Amino acid sequence: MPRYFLTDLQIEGFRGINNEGDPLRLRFKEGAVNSVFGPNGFGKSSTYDALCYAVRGDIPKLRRLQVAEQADEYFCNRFHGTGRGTIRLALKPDDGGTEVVVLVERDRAGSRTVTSPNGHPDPEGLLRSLNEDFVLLDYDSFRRFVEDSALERGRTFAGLLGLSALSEHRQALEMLSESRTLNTDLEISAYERQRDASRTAVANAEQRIAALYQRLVGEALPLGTAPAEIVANATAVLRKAPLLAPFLEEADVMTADIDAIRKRVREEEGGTRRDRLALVIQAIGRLDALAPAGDEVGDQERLAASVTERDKALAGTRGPLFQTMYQSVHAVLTSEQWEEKQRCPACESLPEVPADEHVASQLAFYEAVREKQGAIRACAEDSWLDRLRRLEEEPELDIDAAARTHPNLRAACLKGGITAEAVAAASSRLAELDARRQEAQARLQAERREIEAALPESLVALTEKVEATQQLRAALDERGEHTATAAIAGQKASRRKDWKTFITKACATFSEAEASLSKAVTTSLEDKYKAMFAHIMGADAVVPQLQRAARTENLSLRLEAFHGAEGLAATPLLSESYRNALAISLFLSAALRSKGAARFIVLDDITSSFDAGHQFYLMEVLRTRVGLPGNPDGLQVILLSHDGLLEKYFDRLGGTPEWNHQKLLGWPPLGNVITQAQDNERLKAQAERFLRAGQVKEAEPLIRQYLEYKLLQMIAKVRIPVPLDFAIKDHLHMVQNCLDIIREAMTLHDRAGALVLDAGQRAQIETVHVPALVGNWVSHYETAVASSLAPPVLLSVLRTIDELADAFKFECRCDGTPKRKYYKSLSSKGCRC
Amino acid sequence: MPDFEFDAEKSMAENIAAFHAHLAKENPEFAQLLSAELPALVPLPQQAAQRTARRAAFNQVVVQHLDEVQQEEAECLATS
Repeated sequence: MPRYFLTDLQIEGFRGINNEGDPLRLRFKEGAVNSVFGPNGFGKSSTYDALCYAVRGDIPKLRRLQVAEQADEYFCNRFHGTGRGTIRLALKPDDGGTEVVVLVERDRAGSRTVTSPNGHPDPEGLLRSLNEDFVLLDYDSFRRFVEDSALERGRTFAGLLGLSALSEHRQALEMLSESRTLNTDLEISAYERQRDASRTAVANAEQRIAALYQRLVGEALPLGTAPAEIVANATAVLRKAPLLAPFLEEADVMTADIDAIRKRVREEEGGTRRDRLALVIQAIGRLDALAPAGDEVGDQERLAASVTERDKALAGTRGPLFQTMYQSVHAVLTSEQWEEKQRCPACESLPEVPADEHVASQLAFYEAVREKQGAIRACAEDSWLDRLRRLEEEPELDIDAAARTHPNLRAACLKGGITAEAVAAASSRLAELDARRQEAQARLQAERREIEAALPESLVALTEKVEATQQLRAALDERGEHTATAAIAGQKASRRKDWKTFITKACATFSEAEASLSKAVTTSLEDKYKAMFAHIMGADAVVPQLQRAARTENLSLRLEAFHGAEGLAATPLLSESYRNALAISLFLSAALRSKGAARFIVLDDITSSFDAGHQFYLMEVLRTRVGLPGNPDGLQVILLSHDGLLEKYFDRLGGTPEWNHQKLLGWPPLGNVITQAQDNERLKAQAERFLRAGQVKEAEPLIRQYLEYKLLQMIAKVRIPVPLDFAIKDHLHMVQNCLDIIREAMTLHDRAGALVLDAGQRAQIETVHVPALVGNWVSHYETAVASSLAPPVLLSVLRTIDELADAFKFECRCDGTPKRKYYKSLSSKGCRC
Repeated sequence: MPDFEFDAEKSMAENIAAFHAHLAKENPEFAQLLSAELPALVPLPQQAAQRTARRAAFNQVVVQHLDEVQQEEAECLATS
């Protein structure tokens, strides 16, 4: 896979760069450090923003603004005629392949289109592949890295190391394996409760089956007897009764027509007492089935405990309005828009308890309420609640439908809103109904004995057997149903717990592997970033060290050594320049490790906190250790700066094979931005266009820039010595000062008899060009005492400066073709011809 | 010595694929479910409410899958 250099950038109609019909063009050399100097307000930041938008699809610093600022409306230049921003990038593969051109456009409505004029199949994908965390760095990137929490720093650094995909997966897995939310989302407790309630019901049914079997068969039911055997034994016993045999010839106790049998018995005996006996026996059977089963008291205590815990958590909350507010504040606090996590974004105060901690603790109360409500919901399936329902519905207890408490109780449980008082009342109600059940049972048993005494013995026994058969059938059915329910609920709970175990282990495995890799990579960078830091700060007494936590993403900035002390924290101890040097060293070391698609790095004003000396050391690190060609495996470095001192350094190295320097000129955001190094003719042409249109005010700054550029070019090319002040202070680079320096140098060389200029050139300079410039420009624009001149006069100024420059040239015929070349110096041609 | 490690020489996509393959050795069914659904979660949104909604949607898919498999197994058992 090739990596890409950025070789050409053209911008029109984007941010502060208008350049309607004439895009700003910056050319970058792939094998050199590229510097771009722009004074404040000359489009440097707009250039960086354009690259951010092209590569990242957004401008982070605008995204961090308040919504009310409507940042989306400020991507495109406000003065451009079409309102359409265009960014054209040329990307050259480092394997010698064909250059790829990508055109990124954004219209006023904010829609983005990406195309490739020379036919790359997936230009948006290519830009995405360039979007590595180190590709576009500004001062803010470093400041935020140092000041972030250890966790955020760890995640940022993971991105720098190209490990952000792992960090993002880890965060997702951690969220998925959080135990409390897993229990709630997967309803594990609810299924476990359902399984347990069904098992209790099965046990209850089995007790009744054993008792009924004893009554029917006259023997105890052996443990583990299969249902089919129970049915077969009971059927065999009933077949022995002549009255019942015809009904069981082809049927058993589960399929026989019980109603037909009852009718037959009634026909045999006749009378209402017989019917009443049957009803009494049925009722006794039902009441038997309503006896307590399982650990009802335990279940009630568990529900009461959940209600108490929910109420305790609820007491910590402040209602749904506050919940919404806390969620909103939490969202702001955890977003990139809000950097100062300790300050409250709602009132902008700095509370004693940090805002992020306070909001997290408040939201935890709401989460605890939700969890406990889930536990309460699961209790709706408890067997004691089901017994309460059945007791209230039991005809023998004769409870009016309106007086039944179970429906409301269950609904409250399912909502998670049941109160402690309601639980206690339900518990009392159950006890009261159970007492009534026992009373009814005693009453029915007495009635049964009375009826049985009055009826013929044989039919009494037969009636009893018929009713026992009916009850046995119901108990067997009930056992079958609850066994199935318990099995399904158990399987569901088990499968969900299996998933919980799986995802928890997966998260642990991933986290451990991620931490291990990140730590290893961080350690592998150690020598490089330490050396860079030492070089930038010129000090061995301070040695930084990154410490990656073993099992978390936390990354701490420590000091291995600090003037003899050891193991101190870097952030609170180091000055701003040291902290930035540390962050820069880390970012650059990480960038050098990358093998991703981008083989360039763009650095915007990264030297703000450094003095001149440290700026120089940083530039040396970039030139010799980071950038091509100083580091053959390094990156194409693109530096954007507004620093006047650095520009001296850039000027000095600019034009050498290893350094390419450009300066932004022009009149943004209304007029054009252009680069001086390659486009001074465009500067002149633009000024001429304004003058021909009568726009003197618009042309004036361009004329001044062009004059200063040409005069400084003459001084540099002809090697005219300048005073120290002039060399280091930009504000002295005015036209009058340049003319004075040139004339003084000419006078000096002339008096020494060494001036190489011919008489005609001297005369033109002294008597024509310099007086014309002084008269038509200096006296009007640099003294600020005269009004503007007419366009034709200013057009003549542009011609004059070119003629003045030509007066310092001679015709060279070294290669046969005549060429105008600058003298090597005022005393030498520097040419063989 | 951990039973799984990432390889610094491999791309992140390869490493994540290797992780899923490692999980598949232990539980192919769950590993397949995770590898199919995890990409929809990454990267996590900044806002807590959106994160909660994504997590709940993910777990809903998990529950649905678990129940479907259980249902299929029950049907197979019933017909065999």
